[in-house]
Amino acid sequence: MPMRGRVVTTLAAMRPGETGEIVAVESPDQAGCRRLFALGLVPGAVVALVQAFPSFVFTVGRTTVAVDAETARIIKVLLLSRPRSPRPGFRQTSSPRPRSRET
Amino acid sequence: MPHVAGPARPAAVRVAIVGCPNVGKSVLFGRLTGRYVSVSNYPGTTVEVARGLRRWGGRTFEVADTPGLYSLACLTEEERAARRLLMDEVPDWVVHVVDAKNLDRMLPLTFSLVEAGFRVMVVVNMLDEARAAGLEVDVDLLADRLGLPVVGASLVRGEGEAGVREVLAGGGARPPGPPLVPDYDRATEPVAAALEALLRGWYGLSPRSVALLCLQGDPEMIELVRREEGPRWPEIRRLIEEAGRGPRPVRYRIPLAAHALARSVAAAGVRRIAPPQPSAGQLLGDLLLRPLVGLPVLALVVYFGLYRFVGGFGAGTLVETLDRVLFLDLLNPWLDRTVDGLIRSEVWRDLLVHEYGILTLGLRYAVAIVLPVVGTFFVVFALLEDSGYLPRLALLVDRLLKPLGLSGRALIPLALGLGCGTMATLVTRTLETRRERVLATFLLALGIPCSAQLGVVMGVLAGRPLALAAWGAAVTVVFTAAGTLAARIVPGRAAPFFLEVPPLRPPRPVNIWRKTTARMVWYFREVLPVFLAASIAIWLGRLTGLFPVILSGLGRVCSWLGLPAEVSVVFLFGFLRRDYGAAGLYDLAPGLSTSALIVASVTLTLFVPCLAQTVLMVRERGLPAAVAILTAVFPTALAAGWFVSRVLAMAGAAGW
Ligand SMILES: Nc1nc2c(ncn2[C@@H]2O[C@H](COP(=O)(O)OP(=O)(O)O)[C@@H](O)[C@H]2O)c(=O)[nH]1
Repeated sequence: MPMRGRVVTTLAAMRPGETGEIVAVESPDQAGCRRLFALGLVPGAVVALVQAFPSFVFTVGRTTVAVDAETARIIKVLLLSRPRSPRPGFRQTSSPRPRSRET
Repeated sequence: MPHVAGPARPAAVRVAIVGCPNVGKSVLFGRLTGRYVSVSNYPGTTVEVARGLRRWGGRTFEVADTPGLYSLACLTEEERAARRLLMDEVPDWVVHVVDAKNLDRMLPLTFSLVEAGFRVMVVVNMLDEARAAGLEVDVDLLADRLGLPVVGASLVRGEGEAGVREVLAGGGARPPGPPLVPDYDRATEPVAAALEALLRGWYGLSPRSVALLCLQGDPEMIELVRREEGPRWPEIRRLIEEAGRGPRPVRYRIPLAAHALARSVAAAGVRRIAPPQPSAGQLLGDLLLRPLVGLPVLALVVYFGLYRFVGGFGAGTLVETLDRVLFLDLLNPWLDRTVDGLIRSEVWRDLLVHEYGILTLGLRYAVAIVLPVVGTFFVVFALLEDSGYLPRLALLVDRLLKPLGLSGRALIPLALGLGCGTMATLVTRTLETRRERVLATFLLALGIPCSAQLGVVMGVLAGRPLALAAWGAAVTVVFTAAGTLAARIVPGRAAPFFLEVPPLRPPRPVNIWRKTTARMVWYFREVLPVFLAASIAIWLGRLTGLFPVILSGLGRVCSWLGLPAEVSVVFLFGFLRRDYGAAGLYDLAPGLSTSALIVASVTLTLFVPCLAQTVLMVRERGLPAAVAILTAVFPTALAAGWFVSRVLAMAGAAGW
């Protein structure tokens, strides 16, 4: 997987089409954290952002999850790939480079 | 119950089905017991525990279907209900149903169940969907690694059902070795062992499991331990506090270790054998996530589903046929004649028939006016629910609901409130924080018209699109303003929003039929007695002369709103049952001006909830909260009605 430096950001700062590996979930309260874990959002899991509006929608494993901006901000990710697509926000199904989601 | 069986007969084998929402627990329950419970596609359906008895393999099994449980360290009321069932009943078998496509995030619960000391079997369900996703699941390898009986299944097709029965009846291959559990790291194990050694109480879970839950900061478990362990509590508390300290505290390491182990097992047991073939459902499901597609689709759903089908067909055609043809032309005259012939006393005749009789009014409203509307609504709701459309809508509207202090999750009860506010109030349980539950209950009581009201309002304002728009605008404005204000007043933090989006599945006619009938039966059981009771209350009220007093009081309110005095009857009935009052408006409609109809519709929509909903509000939210909600709703409804009547008068629409 091509990696251009180790950019650590949050899920809220990712752009549609990008993938990243979760490095931490920094919830102020324990409960919120556990719930995100239960949805598979654990450090080490790879997420692919599908869309950022009106809610953040991403896949993690074979699950699709939607979260609001506040929740997206507490999920820290290490960026794995940036899309080449000149049109961020639009996911092309016929993309020449398949997004490698399976690990 | 075990006590009922005589000593000669062995007690029933008690089986609990557990797992995340949407993995097929209800389907398995239905197959094992032959009994039906609500099967659906959004998180949080099986709120109550369903049970069934069935014999197979020479033994009797008592099967319980538990509410969705993500993890033993629970968060929602539903999850706590599921865990409490496990702790109180200590079933002989725990059947953990998992989704084959998402083993890695479901297996941590398997480990927790094993740690808790339960006898666990795993059902790897949705193999059909996994195959379509190009995955091959090696069930034998999973059984080997987990050290548990594992059955592969496609429960909707019946695949795997026999395997589950066989294992529960004591057959099937015995897995070698002890069940797999995570090893926690060097920082965690000593603390867990120390805490475990301090526990003496009986919890229904193993001490190890109780220790791990406490270390993860589970409030309910910690409270239980504090009460059980008395003198050892200070030491236990010290250990728990310690587990929360440091940059990578023990309380985070515990779930992480379980997830890491789950991932390695899933990686070994599930292989990709073909590229994923996105089905039409998946592509459509992805499209619906986009506002540009999702919102127009919502408009179509509202127009065809609510306006044309519920409003047009249900409240129009069906009500017309049942009410005019069946009741007014045939049944009521016959009932009047028959009862008049049988009973001498005027007073008793009035109880049964004539204008306000139990049969001619109570039964007629319930069967001819309310039932068709509620029934058609439930069909639409079941379609949306079963297809997986509702969660997609929830994520589209999350931003819109935020100012009201609600998250996208609240959409499900709010939408259900368009069907029946009473049922919706019950479903607010699935919301995560108390604040959100209170706000949703308030909005349901104030601004969400139930399908009976909606149908009648659409009926009386039919053919007057401007009036319908005015009503819609007024209710929306009040709903938004009151919601925003309430969100400011009710203390607490905004509810975070996160939701699993299930795959879009074609709705299954069997499910639609079963869900609709189950809800109709529920509604009828709940509604018919209240309608009949309302008839009796009206009869008593007229007999004792109490009603005229209340009516003249309400009549003054009506004239203040610029409405004719007869409308006060509608308000009074609406108090007994909101939809009942709306149905009464239906009778008065021909004699009222359009602007009076708008004012009456607005006021009635916002007016206090019906009796049944009020009872449920008290039960679910507690008396103080319910009283606070009602005190807010009442003046708001009247003020809104007055305001609308002023605006209409100023616009010169008074005689319109
Ligand atoms: N494709 C497929 N769908 C299933 C299977 N089992 C259940 N479902 C569907 O998944 C949804 C959720 O099932 P349900 O039993 O309500 O899940 P619960 O929340 O765990 O009780 C329903 O729409 C079922 O029809 C299966 O084996 N394959």
